[in-house]
Amino acid sequence: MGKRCAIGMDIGGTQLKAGIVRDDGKVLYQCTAPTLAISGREALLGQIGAIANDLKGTADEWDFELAGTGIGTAGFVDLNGTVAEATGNLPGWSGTRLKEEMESRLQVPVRVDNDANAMAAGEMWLGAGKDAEHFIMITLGTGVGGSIVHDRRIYRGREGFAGALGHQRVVIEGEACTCGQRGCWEQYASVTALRRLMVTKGVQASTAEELFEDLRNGDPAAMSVVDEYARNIAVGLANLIHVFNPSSIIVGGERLRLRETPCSSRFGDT
Amino acid sequence: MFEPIRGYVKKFSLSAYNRGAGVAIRKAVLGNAAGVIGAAKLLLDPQK
Ligand SMILES: [Zn+2]
Repeated sequence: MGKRCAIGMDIGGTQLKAGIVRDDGKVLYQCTAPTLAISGREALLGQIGAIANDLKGTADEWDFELAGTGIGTAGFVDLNGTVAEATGNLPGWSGTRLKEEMESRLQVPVRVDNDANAMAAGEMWLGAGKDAEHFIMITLGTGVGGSIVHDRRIYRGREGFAGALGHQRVVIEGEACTCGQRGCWEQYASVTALRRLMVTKGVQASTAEELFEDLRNGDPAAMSVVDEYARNIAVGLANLIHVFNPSSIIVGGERLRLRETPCSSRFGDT
Repeated sequence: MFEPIRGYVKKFSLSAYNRGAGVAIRKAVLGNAAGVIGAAKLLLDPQK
């Protein structure tokens, strides 16, 4: 063991993360770059291909056998590895045959999944879901992502689109959502929603970090924001508990960010 | 952040058969690497 590896990539609306992962799950190298989100499909495909090729070269240098490249991307990914429907954060990504495109560019096997499913797979393998048979993963970021794990397998539904937990409706005529509905949970529980709440409640803090600092200092406005935000998150979780009867719910998100290495200056610096 | 969330989940589910009892609400532990590790796992340990 130890001479086999795969490239893992996580394509978010704002950040792209990539790494070389050994077959025991150890991340040998990880880097990040701002996602070329608004430059359109070709630019983003080019960026993903260039970074993956770079990592492939590194794996070769290290004399590793490369099993292929796995990609988790925001959006609805079908069972053939096509991004059937993109989120509002990745314009032009809808309809991208990501698996096909990357296999022809990289000449290695490629598998594509939704980003929250990929995170759930990671947590199930080596993280907070290691011992759970049935769990729900939610990711709080620009939106709210979700993944359903049943009998230690990701539940995909008919077309692969299951787990869009952020689009459960929690308010009948609520805030407009990027999906076209109103009152989706992600309009209340995402980090975007938290920021909106901070503005409407008039807190001094401008980042989540500052907000939690104010909270520790007993600031009443900060307390009110955190209380309402926690309540918003809990409403959706209580629904999910009724539907799935899980043993645990794993919450991930951008506030858990670690220190990162930029991929390479030619891909854009962080 | 997790304590108030747990508190509200408990509160909401008390009046609904107390289904929230016994559900662990926990923080993801792999942070930023979770998606990268999970995506790589699609190749290292392929399952549907
Ligand atoms: Zn929605």
